[in-house]
Amino acid sequence: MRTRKSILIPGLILAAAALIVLPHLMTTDYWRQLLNQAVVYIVIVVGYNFVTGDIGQLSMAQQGFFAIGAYTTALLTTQAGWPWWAALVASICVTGFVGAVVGIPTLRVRGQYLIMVTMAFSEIIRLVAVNWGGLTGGASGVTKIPSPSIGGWQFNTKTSIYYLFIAMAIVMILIAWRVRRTKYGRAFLAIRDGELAADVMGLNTTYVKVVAFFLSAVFAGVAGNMFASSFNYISPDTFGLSQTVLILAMLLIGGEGSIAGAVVGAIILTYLPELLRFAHSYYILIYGMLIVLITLFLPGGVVGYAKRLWSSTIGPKVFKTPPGGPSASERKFDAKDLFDKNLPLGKLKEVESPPGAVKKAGDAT
Amino acid sequence: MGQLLISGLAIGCIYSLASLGFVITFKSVGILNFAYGEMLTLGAFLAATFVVSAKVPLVLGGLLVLIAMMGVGVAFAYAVYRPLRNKPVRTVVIATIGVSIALQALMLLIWGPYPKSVPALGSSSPIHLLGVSILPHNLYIFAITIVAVGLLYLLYGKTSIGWKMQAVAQDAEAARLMGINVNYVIVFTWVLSALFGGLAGFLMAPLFFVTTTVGFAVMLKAFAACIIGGFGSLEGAIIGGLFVGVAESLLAGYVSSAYKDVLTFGLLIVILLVMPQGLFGEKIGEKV
Repeated sequence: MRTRKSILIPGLILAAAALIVLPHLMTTDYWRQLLNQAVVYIVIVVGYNFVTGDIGQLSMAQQGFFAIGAYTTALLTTQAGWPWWAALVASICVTGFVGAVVGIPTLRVRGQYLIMVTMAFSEIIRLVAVNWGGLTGGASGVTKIPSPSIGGWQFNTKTSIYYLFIAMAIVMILIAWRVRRTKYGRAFLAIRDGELAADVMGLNTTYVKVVAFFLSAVFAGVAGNMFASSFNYISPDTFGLSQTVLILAMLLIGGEGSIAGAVVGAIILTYLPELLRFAHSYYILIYGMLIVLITLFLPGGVVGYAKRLWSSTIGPKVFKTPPGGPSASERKFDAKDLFDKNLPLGKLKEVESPPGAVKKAGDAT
Repeated sequence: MGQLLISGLAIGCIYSLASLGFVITFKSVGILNFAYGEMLTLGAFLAATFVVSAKVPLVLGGLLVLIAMMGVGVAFAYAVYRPLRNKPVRTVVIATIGVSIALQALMLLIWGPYPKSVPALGSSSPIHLLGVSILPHNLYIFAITIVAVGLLYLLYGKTSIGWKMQAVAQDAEAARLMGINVNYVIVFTWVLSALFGGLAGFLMAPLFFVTTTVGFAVMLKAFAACIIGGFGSLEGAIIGGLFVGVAESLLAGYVSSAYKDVLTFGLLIVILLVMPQGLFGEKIGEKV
């Protein structure tokens, strides 16, 4: 979905205004806290998308990385007295390192083996956090984690933390967006579409996978830092397998393989418990069934569905501004040609998706 | 040492039974069923209901659990498998996790949050044998496991439904063309899986306090056992289960009981790094 520049700039201004106003629309501190939680999840899920969405490897390790990032920040700020930003850097370095190391097993195992290994990794991290009481505070966790601060700037209200976090999240999203346009981003997709083919084409698939794991871990590290410093308290309970499931569900419900999907999924599932509050004890039952129904009936998630809706209603307009392709006057074919030849609707949808395919379709007709 | 081995083998037998139930559906219909843990929990809760609440004799209670689990298997075949067949692995995984969450919530609504305990099979006084004391319950576990595994092998090797199951596992389409009622075979497969899950749940109920999450934890071990043994093979599931049980028991006894799960999962990762296909795994393509 490309928008023209003329729409893009006002759109961005509008979005920025909405993001600035948002915390003031929330009536209670609890809702502002949820807002911060949503931003934290956005960062985790956008990172998770590298491995599970882009490369298509079902990893359960993201929660483990998240836990490591959160504990690194929590312990460095409470016990070693590090400032928040230094702890952030440390969280990034530690999770990035662990991510690269954990990425190495993915060179060897796939499918259900990878699910098990990554689940085992996350469980090990959680169990160590529970049992290594001397360092991690055991099951009772780490308390009194200081709020973010940079130099003299203190972020100790929910709203100020939100502004800091949303800025961080935007930076992370831009990084993710940028990565997709590098050779790595393209290599991720190549592996998803056919690992063997990518390998044969001379792509060092093992190296690329480690890069993806590294990136997803770095995002989880940033999110861990954000989580620890905004909630001021962490415990191993936060990092159980149900959280892994939550992250996976966020990505699938939002729409895997897309940054927008990761963002939308994180927001939906952060607020879903609130929306289902009326259901009381039936909430989790409904939540579980919703996961099943959405994965079954909305393949590609909410964003995938929105895209399909777009292309089936106003979709053919996409032809008029092919991304990076020739301008309307240079093109040898017009969307109208396709209609004249009475191509089935399915063909149109197929043509619309990848940028390169526009030309191909022109050649074919 | 002997003591640790015996208790490890007992829990290992339960892991083996659980692994078999977990792997049967994967082998036959290619579904990685993450809601399988709830079959175990259900078996344990049903045991608690029949034996403790309804005061049915233990053996009869066990039979009732198995009969109920057959119904659960049929329900899974229609409600879980039907919509999920031919879906990509990730969809299956997340959807069955969704089912698992929903079932856990349902069981919480039915049985409440308080842990239930179930009496052990046989008396509670241990039998002394060759310097090791064994609880009668563990002996029952050994015997029942041997019988169950023997029956499973007879079923697979000697009966027509067993052959049909193997045929469907190899190529469902070809099996259908050969006149096999694939649908019936698949329902049977799910019933078999639920039976093993229920049996494992029934046998483990006296060992743990029964809560809504007990099955998921054991399923994770069973999954690890299947992986260690080589995913998709019955022998792998049995030996992997025993291996995990014994390793866990020895690690808890000699190294650290707090870190036994950390060490067990660590061992799993190390084994996979050395032998990516597990101990007995055949090198096969991913079933998608």
